Amino acid sequence: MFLKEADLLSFSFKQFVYKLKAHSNLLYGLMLIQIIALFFSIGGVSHMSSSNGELSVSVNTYSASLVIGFSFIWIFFIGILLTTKQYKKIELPLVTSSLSGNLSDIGFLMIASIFGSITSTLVGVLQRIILYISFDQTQIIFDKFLISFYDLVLGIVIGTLYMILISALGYLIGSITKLSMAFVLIIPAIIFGFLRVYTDFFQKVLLVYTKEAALPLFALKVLITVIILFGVSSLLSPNKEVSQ
Amino acid sequence: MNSLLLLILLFLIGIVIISLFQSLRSKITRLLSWRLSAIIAGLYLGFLAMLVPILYLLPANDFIKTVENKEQAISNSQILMNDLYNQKFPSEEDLAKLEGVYKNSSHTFKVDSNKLSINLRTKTGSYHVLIQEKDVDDNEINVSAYVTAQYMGEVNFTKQLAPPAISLKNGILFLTTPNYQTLEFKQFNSDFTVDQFKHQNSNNGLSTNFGEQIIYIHVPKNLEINRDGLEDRIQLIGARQKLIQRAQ
Repeated sequence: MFLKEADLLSFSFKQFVYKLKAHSNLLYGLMLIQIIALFFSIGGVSHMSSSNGELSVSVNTYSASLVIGFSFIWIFFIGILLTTKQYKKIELPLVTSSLSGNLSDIGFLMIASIFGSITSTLVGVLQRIILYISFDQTQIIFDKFLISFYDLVLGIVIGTLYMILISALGYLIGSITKLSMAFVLIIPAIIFGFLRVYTDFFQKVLLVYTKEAALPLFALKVLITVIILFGVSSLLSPNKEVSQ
Repeated sequence: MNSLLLLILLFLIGIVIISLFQSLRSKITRLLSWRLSAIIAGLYLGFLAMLVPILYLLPANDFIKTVENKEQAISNSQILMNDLYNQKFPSEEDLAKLEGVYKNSSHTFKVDSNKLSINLRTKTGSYHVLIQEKDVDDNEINVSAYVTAQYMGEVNFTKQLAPPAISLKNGILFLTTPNYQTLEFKQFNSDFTVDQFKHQNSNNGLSTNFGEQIIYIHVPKNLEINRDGLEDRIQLIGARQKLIQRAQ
């Protein structure tokens, strides 16, 4: 018996709530990785100095970009992790189909992306306060020390979109490797092969997103890509009967 | 290439951390219920959110502000230096009014000899000494030190420069540069996610503009000036300059 379409959303939602509870411990990894990234960022992300023989002037630059970058890595692995047998076993006690399982996974990844983006952006605020306490104010350049509320919200929205995109990529890779363990070797081989033959291929693909300066267009690109990635992942998932 | 290596390194560090966490996770999971996880995640989020109003409430009086007109200040300084090289010397009043030029010290000495020599103890050639004769013989030597605009990126550090040590002994005016000075600044950049849409980090390659020092000396009328060997760095201006030009 397959799930009826009308029931799909309610089943998916129940699974999503269930998975939210079951996978809640994954957030510890995010918190840990953000704290480690913050620790790495305390020394500054770049340094520049000049001297004229009598005077040396140096500027240390700080940002939360490293924290955001680490959070991206985390969500990528969570995307892969959710497709593994160990995590799919969680669905067994529930009434489930592969589609509802995928939808609930996507729901979890979205919540994790929102949480990851909010916290990684706010760690930038923590970083500023730590540096405010640690250094003399006369050393701190006021410009960009205060983040405007608009920039905070913008950072959270963009971070969320990136994290959803990266989680979808991780989920697709996980779904492919689930078909056969051979893909664990084949995928990196294809990636490295592509990098050697078409050196700027991945760079061009990345630029499609990273060079987009219009937010609505960026959101549209991410949305289309995410639909494709999750769609392909769902198609690759083996159809299964409802288990109870 | 370096950025690619950095990216790979970050990726590897991330993998190691996540792998370590994954290996410990099964043990931790047994100890922690989802309720506890939700509470901890909520506290973490709440703590970070609470920091936002705190950040806005922090007193920011002593921060370095970058609202000055940098281009104008640098341009004025460059014009001033060109004028000095072309023997066009400004009056001290004009110099003091010039935007971007900062007076960092002034001294008054009683004349202790009928002759004045200058001992310039500087490590660089960025010191220019201008000597102007007063209309009166008031027995006083007035020395002022000025510094032209000094920037790194958008940071104006002109006012943070230590002035030269100036003293008068037995008819010799000693001008000594301060000890090697180190200035350190902390700058925040927008996160790359925001920068993609706002392009705020345009000053990634910070350019440095080191300025010059101008020592303006007013001497009493008829005080003999000895500038042997330092004619290119010590300029006599006003009536005294005209006398020298006539003699030449």
